[in-house]
Amino acid sequence: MELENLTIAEAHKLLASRAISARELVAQTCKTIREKDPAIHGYLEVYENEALADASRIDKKIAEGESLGTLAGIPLAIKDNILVRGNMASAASRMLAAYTAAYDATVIQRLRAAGAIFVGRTNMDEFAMGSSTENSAFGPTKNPHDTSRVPGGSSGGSAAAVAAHECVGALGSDTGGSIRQPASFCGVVGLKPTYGSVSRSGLIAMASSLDQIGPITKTVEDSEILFDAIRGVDPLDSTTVDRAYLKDPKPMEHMVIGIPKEYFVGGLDPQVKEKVQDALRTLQGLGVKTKEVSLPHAEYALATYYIIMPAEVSANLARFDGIRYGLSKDAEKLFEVYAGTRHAGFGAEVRRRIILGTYVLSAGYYDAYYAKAQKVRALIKQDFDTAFETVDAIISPTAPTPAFKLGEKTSDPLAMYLEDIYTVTANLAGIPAISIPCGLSHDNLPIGFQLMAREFDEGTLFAIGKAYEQSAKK
Amino acid sequence: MISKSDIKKLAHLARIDIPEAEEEPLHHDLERILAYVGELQKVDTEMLDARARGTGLKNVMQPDAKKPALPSDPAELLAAAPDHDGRYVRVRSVWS
Repeated sequence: MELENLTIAEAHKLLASRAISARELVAQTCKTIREKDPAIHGYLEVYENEALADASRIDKKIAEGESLGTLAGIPLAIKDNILVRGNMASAASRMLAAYTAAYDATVIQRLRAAGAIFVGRTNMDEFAMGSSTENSAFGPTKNPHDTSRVPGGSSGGSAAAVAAHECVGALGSDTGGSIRQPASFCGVVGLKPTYGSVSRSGLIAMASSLDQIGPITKTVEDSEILFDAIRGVDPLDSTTVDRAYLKDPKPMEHMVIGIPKEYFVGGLDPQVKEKVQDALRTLQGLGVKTKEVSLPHAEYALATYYIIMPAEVSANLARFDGIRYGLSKDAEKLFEVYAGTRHAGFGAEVRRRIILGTYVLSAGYYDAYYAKAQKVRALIKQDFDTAFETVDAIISPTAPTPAFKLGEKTSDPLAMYLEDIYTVTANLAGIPAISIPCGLSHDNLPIGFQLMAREFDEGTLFAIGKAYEQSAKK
Repeated sequence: MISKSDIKKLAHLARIDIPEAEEEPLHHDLERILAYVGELQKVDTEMLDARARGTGLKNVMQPDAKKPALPSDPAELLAAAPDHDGRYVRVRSVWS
């Protein structure tokens, strides 16, 4: 039995029919990690013993004839900014290098109740700030398709672990593209859900008006399975909305996909453009109609994002002050404890964003930067509202290029920020977006395309995505 | 646009030590980022207000019922602090 390449749906069938045991599946996953992860470094820590014990408990329930859900016995990897009680959660920062989570994130509680098994915590850019996973305080993750290249970021460890079959599925978090861009670079599926559909209780916050937790998986079907398990209202996150999404919204021949004319121009790698257009032709072959749409403020999305996000970062990360938890640098005076701890604990990119956020919020600059950005954000949202009056989904590249070399962009923060150019708009508008693999570059590097839909319309993304995958398999 | 003395002031406001040697590269990066985000000044936003938009929710209420104030055991939370005295987190003198 080939256990290595299983999807969640396939593994569930084998577990339910007792063709394999959860223990066998977890043992195989841990074996793959031992073989492959030294070259990839997707994981910061693997919980082999706990995972095997959890698997045995699931096997016992199956043996007793208990009917279990789709996720029972499935080995998952969790991004290191999501709290799992009793385990370390460092957000890949020196600040939290020795921090042990005192409670479970809501998504973890839900997955645990569904019988999922947590095999380890995955590497990321520090506090989810970066697009390459090179900003980790614990060393970079490498792309499984070419270890001289980055896996994308900030959920690079989760994306690499799924791509290398070091887990069956994973969770990441996405503030400006941190699930979708690494999914694109690693050739896997990544979903950023609608803002308000998944609880962030127990997610180490980056920018609270943008952050969402979402699945990174091998297929769109698996993405839907994981999303269904983690979504839904939670009293511990008052931004969550009690609103179900429509499954199988309408047949493919009634779907209309918008092609934003602003998105297929300057800065886009010709190979990425070609593969996204191939994907579009495949969708047209399924009967999907296409229509050109305009998102006139899309060109301002990245600038808007790089004001709002650092502003929220500067506020959220004020809590790391060396007093209640995490790193603490002792000094004579309280102020020196704060300032010394925050210098020692935060890496260069985190410090840069905190200072930038402090600047755009400070007296005299607030209106020119933060208030202005909030207004442009409203215009970006309006562009989408207008487009979605006539189309069901919007297609674009996920990232402007395939995976780049390690070190290629580390000395130039702006070049790194441009990686998010196609993804930040969905976060600013609060809409769901998915990245789906659509082929390989000349260098055999994965390329992904992005589909965006109306708020709480993940159903359209899954329907189109599954139809595309089936058609592309043939 | 942003001066060297601004950096010192911002570092103070943000409670982060920025050593002398790091000021110049940080200043350079911030100038470039601010020039880039300055593009927004071109957008006409005359008719808009700056209220944050989210999910459209307002006045999210919870039942007025007794429940644990914390999701965790207080002893566990105290143990995470670098220094504590009984049930109090101990800090350096605020007035000095």
